[in-house]
Amino acid sequence: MIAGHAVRKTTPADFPTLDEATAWFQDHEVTFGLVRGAEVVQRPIPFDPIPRVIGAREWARLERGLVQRVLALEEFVRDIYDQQRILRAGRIPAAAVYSSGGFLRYAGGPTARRRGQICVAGVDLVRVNGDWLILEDNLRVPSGMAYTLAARRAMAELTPEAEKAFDPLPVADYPQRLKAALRHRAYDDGLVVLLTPGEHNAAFYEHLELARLMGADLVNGSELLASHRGCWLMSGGTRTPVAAIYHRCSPEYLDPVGGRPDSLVGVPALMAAWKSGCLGLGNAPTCGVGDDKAIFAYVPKMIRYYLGEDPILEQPPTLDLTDPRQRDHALANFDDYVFKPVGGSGGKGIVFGPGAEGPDRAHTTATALTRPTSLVAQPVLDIERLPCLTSDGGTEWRRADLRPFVVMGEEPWVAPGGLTRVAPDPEGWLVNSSAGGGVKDTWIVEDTASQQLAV
Amino acid sequence: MPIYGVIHQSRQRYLETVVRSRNEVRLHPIESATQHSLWFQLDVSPMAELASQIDYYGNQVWFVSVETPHRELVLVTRAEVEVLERPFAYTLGQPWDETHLAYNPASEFTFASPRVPRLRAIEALAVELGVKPGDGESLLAANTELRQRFAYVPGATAVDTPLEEVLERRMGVCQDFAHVMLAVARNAGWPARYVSGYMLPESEDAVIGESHAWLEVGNNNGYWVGLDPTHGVEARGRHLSVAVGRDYDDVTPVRGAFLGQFRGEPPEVTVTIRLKPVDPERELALHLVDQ
Repeated sequence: MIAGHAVRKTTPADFPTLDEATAWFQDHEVTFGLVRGAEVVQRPIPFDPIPRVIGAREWARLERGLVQRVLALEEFVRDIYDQQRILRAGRIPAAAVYSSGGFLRYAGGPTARRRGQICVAGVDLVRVNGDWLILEDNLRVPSGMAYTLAARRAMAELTPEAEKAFDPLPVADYPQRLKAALRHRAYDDGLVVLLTPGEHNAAFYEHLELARLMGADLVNGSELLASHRGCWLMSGGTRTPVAAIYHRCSPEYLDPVGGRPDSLVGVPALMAAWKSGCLGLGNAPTCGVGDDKAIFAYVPKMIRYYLGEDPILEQPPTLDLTDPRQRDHALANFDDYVFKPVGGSGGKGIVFGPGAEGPDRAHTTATALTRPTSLVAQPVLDIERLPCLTSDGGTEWRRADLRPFVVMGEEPWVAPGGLTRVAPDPEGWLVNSSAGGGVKDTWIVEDTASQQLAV
Repeated sequence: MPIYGVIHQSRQRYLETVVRSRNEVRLHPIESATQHSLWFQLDVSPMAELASQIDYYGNQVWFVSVETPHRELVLVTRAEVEVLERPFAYTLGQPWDETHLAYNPASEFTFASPRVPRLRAIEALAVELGVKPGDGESLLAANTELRQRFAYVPGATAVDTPLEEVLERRMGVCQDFAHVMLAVARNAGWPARYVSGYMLPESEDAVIGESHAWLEVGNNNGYWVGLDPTHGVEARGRHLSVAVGRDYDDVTPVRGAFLGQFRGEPPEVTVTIRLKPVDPERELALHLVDQ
């Protein structure tokens, strides 16, 4: 807090203007790609300069809840590729697991049973009437932390006084924490590299930036060579052993031999290298079974089953549309539900009951009836809105979520804050960057300081 | 117990020299209550680095890594396997109790899989074949009947021909027969898995054979009953299993990639299977080699 000063509330004037914020992101090329037809167009991601502030005590509870959740998910992933005790115990319907598109049987084997499948998890939260609720787990390729790192640097450069006064917990050691967690998964000496599917990926900025900050080579699949004996970076006729890979590809595309044969970005035998215990992979290709939207509903049961604890954080009920009773209820109360495709990401295919037009409504109803495993329904929530600056200098309130990142190194570590995503306008429901959403910095501050931010 | 010797050769010719290649090979006969591998050897030309481990389904998978330029890749497996001649004939008997099945690992094989999706056409076929849900007798009858309705035509389909097309054209090879029957069995509520392997000869003469595929249906006591719709028989005593999975994609015998510009032709496969004369001393020697 502002030591020795009279306590005063902050105003937007304490923070950068929207123009300054936008210019900083433009100058530093903090971009996110939007799909326009067949192309991906990189544009600066909208950056709102009013930070979201969370008090230390509230954060401590979130932190505990997040670590608990990711520990249970880690147990779950390993169990599913091993004895499947949780299914035999009848705690989770086997159908949800066996028909999950994220359950990659070809990743099975001794390495899939080892500790450390999840290297980093991104968990999406929203605040509803003051309570935090979990909306989604991201375990395959959780992304977005580089935007938080950029936002913090921008805040510190543009309005150093405010940043200093609030003294938010630092996030800058995220890249080194991530690198240490990757090293922790390595079995030998060698490089840690970041494997990108390429510059056409929407989050390519993040690949570049994290590689730079981690001090890791940014590579694409064609620069790597793999076999069941290991993995090597090939450059200028030399081969350098790779100890661990932080990959940003959908796991099924990592290897055309051990995964999808039509993969153009993968490395032949990369899975064999990992399966033989010669290569660390973050995240392991097994993780997708844990972040399937159909599995989400059962995470509280995992926490009770594997950890013997009550879940610290709550989540909204998720209706299983294969159950006729739940399906009928959701369809009869269409306006109260949001329908999410099980396999989707980036907000694609999500239908909000309240605003749904006739054709969307008819299509969603038909899908729920004919392919009930492909959708889940969750109640529409009155998600907290945060103040955002408008181009004319005013403020407006937009829906926001929070994606904290949990790094599973020797000890679990939650980057303080994480990525706050805001909808593009006051009416918008979707905060996804691919749906035009923007980002804010997230400040975890002393409880007394958190009182002062009231825009 | 009779011992069979199997030699399986797969020759992959490339149109151009490739710099290196990587393959996953599933040709190692599986261990089960009815068969036991005495000996197995995988030879690769050109020289390759090899390692093996057990996959998710319990199959032995070999990683084959070739680092020298080559225009053809030859994989030869040699195996000697003891096979139980007259294994106990498990029956499908009573249908599964749904709750009971949900808690059993076999339930994994009741769901649609990448190569065996749920299709309307399968429901129609089940009606045509007279398959009643949970009725083992009607499923066995359909297994005998299928070859009257579908033609076995070598070359009619490729390894990646979708099930829809097989159902439409009503012809195919053993892989297609197995997929069709898997779909029918799952549609009737049975857990059913795909098996790749070989058909065993009855005489002591060496037989030029080929890879074969059939299915196993899980009965409610947890035993797998083999069905071979290509021959319209139960798979018992004359079938040697190599790998099991949900469908062909889980057990593909040779899956690979190579670094080079041109795609090659599908591999040429030759299989030789021979019933070994019983020779106790030789058997002992084999056991020693095994250790």
